[in-house]
Amino acid sequence: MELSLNSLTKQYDTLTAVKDLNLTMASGVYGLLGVNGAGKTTLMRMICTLIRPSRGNITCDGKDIFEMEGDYRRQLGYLPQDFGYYPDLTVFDYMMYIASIKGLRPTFAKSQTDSLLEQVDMKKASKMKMRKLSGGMLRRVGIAQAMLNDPKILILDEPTAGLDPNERIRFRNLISELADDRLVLLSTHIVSDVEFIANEIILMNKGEFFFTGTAEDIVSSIGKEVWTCTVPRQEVDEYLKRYLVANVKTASQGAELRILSDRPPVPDARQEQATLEDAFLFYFGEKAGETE
Amino acid sequence: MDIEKLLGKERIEVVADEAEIQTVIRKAKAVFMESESQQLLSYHEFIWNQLRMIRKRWWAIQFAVLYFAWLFLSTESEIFYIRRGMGVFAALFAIILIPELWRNLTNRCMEVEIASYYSLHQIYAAKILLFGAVDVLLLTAFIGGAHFFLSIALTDLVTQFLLPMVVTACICFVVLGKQHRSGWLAIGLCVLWSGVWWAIAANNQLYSAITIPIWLTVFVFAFLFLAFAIYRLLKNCDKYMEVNLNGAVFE
Repeated sequence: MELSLNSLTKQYDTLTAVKDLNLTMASGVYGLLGVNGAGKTTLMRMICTLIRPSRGNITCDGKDIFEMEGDYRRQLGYLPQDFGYYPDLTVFDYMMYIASIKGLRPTFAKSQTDSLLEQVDMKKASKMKMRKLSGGMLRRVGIAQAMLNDPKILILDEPTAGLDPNERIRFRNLISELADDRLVLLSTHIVSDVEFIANEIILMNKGEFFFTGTAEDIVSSIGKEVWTCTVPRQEVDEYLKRYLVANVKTASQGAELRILSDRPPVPDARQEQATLEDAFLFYFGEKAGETE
Repeated sequence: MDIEKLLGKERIEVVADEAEIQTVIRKAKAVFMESESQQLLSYHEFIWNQLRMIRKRWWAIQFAVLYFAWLFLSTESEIFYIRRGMGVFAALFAIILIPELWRNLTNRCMEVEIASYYSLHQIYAAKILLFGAVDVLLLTAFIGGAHFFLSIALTDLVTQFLLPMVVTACICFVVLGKQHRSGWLAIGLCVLWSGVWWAIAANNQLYSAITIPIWLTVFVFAFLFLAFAIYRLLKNCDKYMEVNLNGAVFE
């Protein structure tokens, strides 16, 4: 199974939300990383056939997905960023309803619902009304509904938004488990969501892909060293102006800064191993500060 | 195994191996499930599921509206009040469907629905078919009953009840097919239309000036427009509206 974006563009009057994207994806986890407004959601909505491209196309094994219609959507699982649900349904009834619109026969739908609710640890809550679920539980139901038809293509738009750190880790592990033999495209603006589970990371900004590769490729591409040094607190603002500062931590003798620079910012600066988060800061600059 | 010999016996004893039976059951279940997973839900099964999903309270309320309309018709004798009252009941009958028609929009379920095998197009088609079928039944019973038992002319029922109801339904489907798809806008326009109808019905000179053939022609046009509004809705409902960070809506 191969999903290709061919010169994909989405234009809204004067705004180009997605600009001339070209990419071919096969099985594996793809992490789409970018700040808010980068065009990630628009791209995902196009892949899910919610909106049509202004130019270019998306093909699944060589066929245009908009011409494939139901045949394509049969292979698709989608968890939107703003996951809507019917609050007056129970978790089980909601899953059975989604199974019906996914075209699953009742016996298979029930078996899938049972096993997926078990997998996302929601079996005990299956009789609960959807409106009573916490944010984390809703996200788990969200991923379970996306998996109901055992999709070949799984699209997850900001699946960890609003989750606490524990739930985020659980969610990451769950996605890793589910990624077997399918294409998972996961968009996020939280670096740690994709750092360990994505086979390939795509950096997106202003509607364009500007880097595609593994986490190591991205880290090694920044061409700067990472340093930590302790400076007097009153000088922090000066360093923030002069350098790309990844982190500021208050220490007893001043402030400990994590700085991306070709040269050591101070003579006694310690060199550190660069991380994906440093690369994110390097590529997205001040906007990276919007990450959680 | 000598079958001939076994058949000659009065009693055949077969030793059942519990483990083997369980294996066969497991395999049969697996084969059945595999076959079920390959097959798709048929369209009539899908419609049945949509019927289960629709909250039946709206039909109960529609029934109640018709019941009160019946009581009103059987107790009121002044033609002037009957004309105005029927218009109000007709608008109410159609407005009641708004919460159910707007349900997936209100609950932000459209993204998942558009991306599903039976997409929003089929979901709306199924809902409209079900609402249509039930409403035709209810209205046939109401109009038939009013005509035969209360001796109200069919033309009066069409012009005083069905016409304002069809126009209200047109408003609902046109708004649902529009970019913003606001349920409140639909309710507002329906109430406004109800006021306009009330004014027409209250103006005896104007109402009487319009002859029956003209009323029937208007009704036919309204009915055709309703069909067009439903067609437009079904054609465009799979188009998702994007909202940018500034809140602007794009199609």
